[in-house]
Amino acid sequence: MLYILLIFIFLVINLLLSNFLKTYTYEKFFIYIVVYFVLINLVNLAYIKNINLFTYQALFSVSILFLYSGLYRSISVKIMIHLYLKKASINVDNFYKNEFKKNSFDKRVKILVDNGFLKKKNKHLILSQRGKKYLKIFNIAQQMYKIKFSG
Amino acid sequence: MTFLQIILLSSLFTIIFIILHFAILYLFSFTKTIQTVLPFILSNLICIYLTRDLVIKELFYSSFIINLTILIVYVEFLLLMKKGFTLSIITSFKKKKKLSYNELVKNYADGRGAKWILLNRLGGLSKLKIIKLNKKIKLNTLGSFLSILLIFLRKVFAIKDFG
Repeated sequence: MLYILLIFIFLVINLLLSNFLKTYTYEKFFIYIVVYFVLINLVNLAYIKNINLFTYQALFSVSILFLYSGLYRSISVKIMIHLYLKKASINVDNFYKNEFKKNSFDKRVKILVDNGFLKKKNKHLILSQRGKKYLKIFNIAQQMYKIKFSG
Repeated sequence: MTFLQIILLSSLFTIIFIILHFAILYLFSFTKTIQTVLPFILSNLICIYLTRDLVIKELFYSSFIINLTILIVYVEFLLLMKKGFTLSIITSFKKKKKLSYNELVKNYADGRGAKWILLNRLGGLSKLKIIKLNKKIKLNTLGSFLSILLIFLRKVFAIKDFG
């Protein structure tokens, strides 16, 4: 009963936050999840003292974080919802030009520029120092896991 | 004290799990799912075996939930490395340090291009019988049902936009 109540409280606070904050991005949701997890466990530590509640909250928080990430960012989810709302078949090339490139690819490039990973220089894009540092880390991780390319 | 014992058990699991995952990755050519699930099962069994005579074994259920959480994080990390859309834009700068927008579109995903990722995802959806894919794309019955579910979940989580 307590677990169901906690899920309900989590969703209500999330709904309130999305209404009160001007833009409710994935980063803000991430901060909310971390704060929620810490607070619940502080209450648990001080009053409830239930170790299963801690483990359940860890699993719940991580699962919800990745579920939200998929619902918010996944290309497949975006395609499916777009197709459902259009209620008709769509030409692949048109979808690529008018929907995918503009609302997915360009948007991600803009996010990388805004977050300081990419820099614009004379109509060209280059990696910033931050971007170069991350590229090095990705390269090492991809080599370790035998991943030839991502996408 | 109980909390620390669970963390200790899960830390032991994490070390064994990662070692086994790399061992299987480098020594065998299993599918991606087996490469991850097999080390998860084996490392849990090893943990049970190692703690069989200790009081700590009673905490294994709680530790297992934490181990499951660790597995989810690890799988998500692997998926990010393999399928990360934004990450792939950064790795497009591996060979060329400076790219125009059009070059970036062409160089995306090791030279496969930005359209490839769309076709790749559409291919995946088609394999799962979610869409019909020819020159045109259309949702199947399963696809329509899943789309309604996804829209419902987005409403539950109050997601208004796409990232």
